[in-house]
Amino acid sequence: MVDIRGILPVSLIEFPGRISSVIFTGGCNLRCPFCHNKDLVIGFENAPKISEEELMERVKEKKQWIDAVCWTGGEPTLNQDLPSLFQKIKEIDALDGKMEIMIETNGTNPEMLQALIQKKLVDFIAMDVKAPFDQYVSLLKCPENLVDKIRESVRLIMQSGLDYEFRITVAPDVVSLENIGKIGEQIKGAKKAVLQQFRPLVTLDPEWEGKVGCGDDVLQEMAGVLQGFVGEVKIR
Amino acid sequence: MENEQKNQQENNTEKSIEKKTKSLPFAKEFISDVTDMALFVKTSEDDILQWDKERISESLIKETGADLRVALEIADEIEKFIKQNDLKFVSAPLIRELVNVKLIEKGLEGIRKSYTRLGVPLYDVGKIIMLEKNRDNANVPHGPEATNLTLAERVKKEYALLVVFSNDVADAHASGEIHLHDLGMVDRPYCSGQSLEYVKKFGLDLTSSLAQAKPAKNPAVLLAHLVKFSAALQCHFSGAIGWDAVNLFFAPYLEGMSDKEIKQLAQMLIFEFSQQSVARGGQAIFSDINLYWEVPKHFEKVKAIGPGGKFTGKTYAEYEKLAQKFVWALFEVYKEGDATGRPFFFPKPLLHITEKFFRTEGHEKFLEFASDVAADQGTTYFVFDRGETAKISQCCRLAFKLEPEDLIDALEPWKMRYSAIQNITINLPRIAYKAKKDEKALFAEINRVMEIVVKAHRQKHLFMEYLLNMGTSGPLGFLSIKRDGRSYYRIHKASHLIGMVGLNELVKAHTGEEMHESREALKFGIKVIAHMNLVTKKLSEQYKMKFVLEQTPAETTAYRFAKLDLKWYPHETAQVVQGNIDTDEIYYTNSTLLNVGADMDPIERVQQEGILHPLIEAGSISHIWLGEAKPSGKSIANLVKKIFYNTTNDQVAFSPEFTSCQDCGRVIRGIQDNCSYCGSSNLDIITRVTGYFSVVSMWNKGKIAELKDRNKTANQGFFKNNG
Repeated sequence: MVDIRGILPVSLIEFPGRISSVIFTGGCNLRCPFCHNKDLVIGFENAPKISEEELMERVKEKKQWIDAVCWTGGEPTLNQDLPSLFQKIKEIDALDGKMEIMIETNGTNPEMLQALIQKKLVDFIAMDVKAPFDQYVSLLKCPENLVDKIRESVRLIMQSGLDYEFRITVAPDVVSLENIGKIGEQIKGAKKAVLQQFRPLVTLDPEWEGKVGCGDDVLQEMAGVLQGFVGEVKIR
Repeated sequence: MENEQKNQQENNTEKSIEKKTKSLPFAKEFISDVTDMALFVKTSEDDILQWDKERISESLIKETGADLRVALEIADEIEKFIKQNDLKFVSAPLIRELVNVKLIEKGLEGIRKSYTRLGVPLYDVGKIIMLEKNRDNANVPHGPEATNLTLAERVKKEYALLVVFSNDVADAHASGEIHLHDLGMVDRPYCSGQSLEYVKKFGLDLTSSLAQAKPAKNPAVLLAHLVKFSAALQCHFSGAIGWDAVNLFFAPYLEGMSDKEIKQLAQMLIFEFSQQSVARGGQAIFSDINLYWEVPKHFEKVKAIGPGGKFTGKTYAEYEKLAQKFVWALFEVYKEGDATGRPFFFPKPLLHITEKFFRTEGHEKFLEFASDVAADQGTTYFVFDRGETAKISQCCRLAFKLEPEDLIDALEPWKMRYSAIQNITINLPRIAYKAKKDEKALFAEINRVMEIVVKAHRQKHLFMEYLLNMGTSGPLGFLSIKRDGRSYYRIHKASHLIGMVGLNELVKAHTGEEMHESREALKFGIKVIAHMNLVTKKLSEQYKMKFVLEQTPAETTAYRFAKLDLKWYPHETAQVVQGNIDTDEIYYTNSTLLNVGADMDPIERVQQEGILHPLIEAGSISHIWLGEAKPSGKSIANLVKKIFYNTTNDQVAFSPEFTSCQDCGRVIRGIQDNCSYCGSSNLDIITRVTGYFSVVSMWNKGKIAELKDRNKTANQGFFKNNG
């Protein structure tokens, strides 16, 4: 059973251009200090779990309206039953004949991504690139064995033939003008990268709540650097 | 007992007033000329020597029809009083009040009412001139023109309640059972929808005393005519000035123009309208322009009027491409915003989405562009004309469905001039408080209040008719000009609006739940509006007048009703009113809308509110509050298309919020405490108040409370990126 802890029935933002339902899964294998979905990372077991049946019902209720179902978390790819549930979603008789699926991932489970891509169960992949890969361990306390997997996911996604984007949250002290080029290097040749402003509302590590994001001019400058590596850069 | 007596007296007065209403109440002798006497006794000792008590008796007889004996007796007594007290200085208003005291002593209430002096206390005038912003309307800035407007409105409002309307109607208004809108402009109709064809065909004829202009020969002149005509109309209507199919009707003038020239014209049009805050009362013209991507079906075969007011020999169907170019250019200007990037408040672009829209080439791209403007600036209003009905929109949400005879008029579009004479809003929660959860009593009370509303409409109609019948030399001469054989103002086509506020709170008071809280509660809300729709039809038939339900924008009314109910029904009101009673920031939910802070997604809102829209013939709207979020134009276009096909919703607008820095001039998305560029706290917050954008510091307390609640949903995540 997929560990579902939240549903946002309608979003106009999550999947650009589409109207989507957003599903939040519980549990994550990373502990990024600036994570702003901490309730889905720590202590999520206490939140009410939503069954797959209920999920299907609530998505079907909106089938006249939504084009897509977006999966986020937590880290959705930790759920081994994802393919069978995605299969059921794909079978919904949606407005335009097909229900699209988007997944947001940290890239730590390339095997799952590979399975979803192969079975044509995913239409759009958004992957976080949080820092230069060689700094994942020091800056994000990422287990060492996951770093290669993350590199593998980048390669997989770029070769998938699907729509995708790499998302870079400009977290203070993690992403900067000094290392943005390095980040660009590791997604070199990608179709699209998105720079996201850091918003210090609620973060996993409370110390981060006081930190301030960089100015818009800095974001613009970073975008300029990234432009040298990828096809399209967006600021969100 | 005392009350009964008072009622009796008031009834008598009412009868006498009504009697007068029948026999030319607004004729010269009734509007007394008090100026003479005021000048006569006003100031110096020299003048007081010329004191003449006969002025009192004469004025009493002339103004009130008092009989000679009573008039002389009172004049004597007043003279005695003034001499006795050795007064060195009396003003005309003072004498008048002394007379009124005498009239009270003698129990002559009817005479006293007719002898009333209207005006504003010294203290208030000072406050209005120097300090006060007009909180009734966030579209009125503070300045000499604005205070003129406020002062004039104060006097005309009193006049309206004393003379134009009967006592029971005036009491229903004063107690907050109903709200008579724009009483300060009682001598004008409410709002209007115009056709540019009229201006193109007949040129500009403002009044007989000003220069007349022949039909425009080039687009810039037509634009000038359009804006000047709107300003003139604003001086003759209290509400919105709407223009039909502006991009289409401009098209015959655009032939041979380059894209750059068309863009320039679009820019001029929007700036000219939006900067007309030099007009009446320092107010921008509350203006709407109706826009179409396609050539509306009813104009396809209509002969087009071009430069010089002459037919071009083509039909409007042949101007599709030019009309599209122009509408695209207009939206480009809307997207850019003003010099600082702020959204334009006026003219509001009402984009009609029809069945034909989706059959017209290029609609996808255009819809995405107009949606982009909605996402960026919030400016676009999406008006849905489903089936093959045609509508003309004006005002905040007001629309006229074109009847078969209007479609005949459409062949000569200059005839398409529509108006609502007056707007009256019913305080729905009050009805529930009175009914005390008894459903039968509730519907009976609705009927009773609607009868009063209709009575008020008949009284205003009579007054309008009287003013219009004075012809071109009368006060509404401008509206009586006959250029096509008929008066410009077509009173026989005019409608009378019946609005409502607080359906949501009525339902809560009656069922214990708000409309979004259960299916049953929503159903009860539908039942109430369906009933009102039925009663409206019945009354229209009975009185041979056009009464229609509308969603009141209720910028002030939602606050006023809540305040008055808290006074008269404190216990019941406290249970259902929105906002915070302790800080006096309270309001009722506008019209038939659902709780603005309800935990529901925008689709549920549009769907559920839309169930009621077909019952409200004069038009409705759903607001989607975006807060600081900015969905893509593509997503909004996607939603708009689905709303058209999946719901019965009439109109949708997306409202973002902006912070505009007064120091560095930059505009930032969302409500900020400090400018993120220069750190200044000298900021204007801008968002949609009801049917239009304005600066939040101009809002009343009720709307400020509503804004706080809106943000609960806007920031819930429907528009937020959770990635």
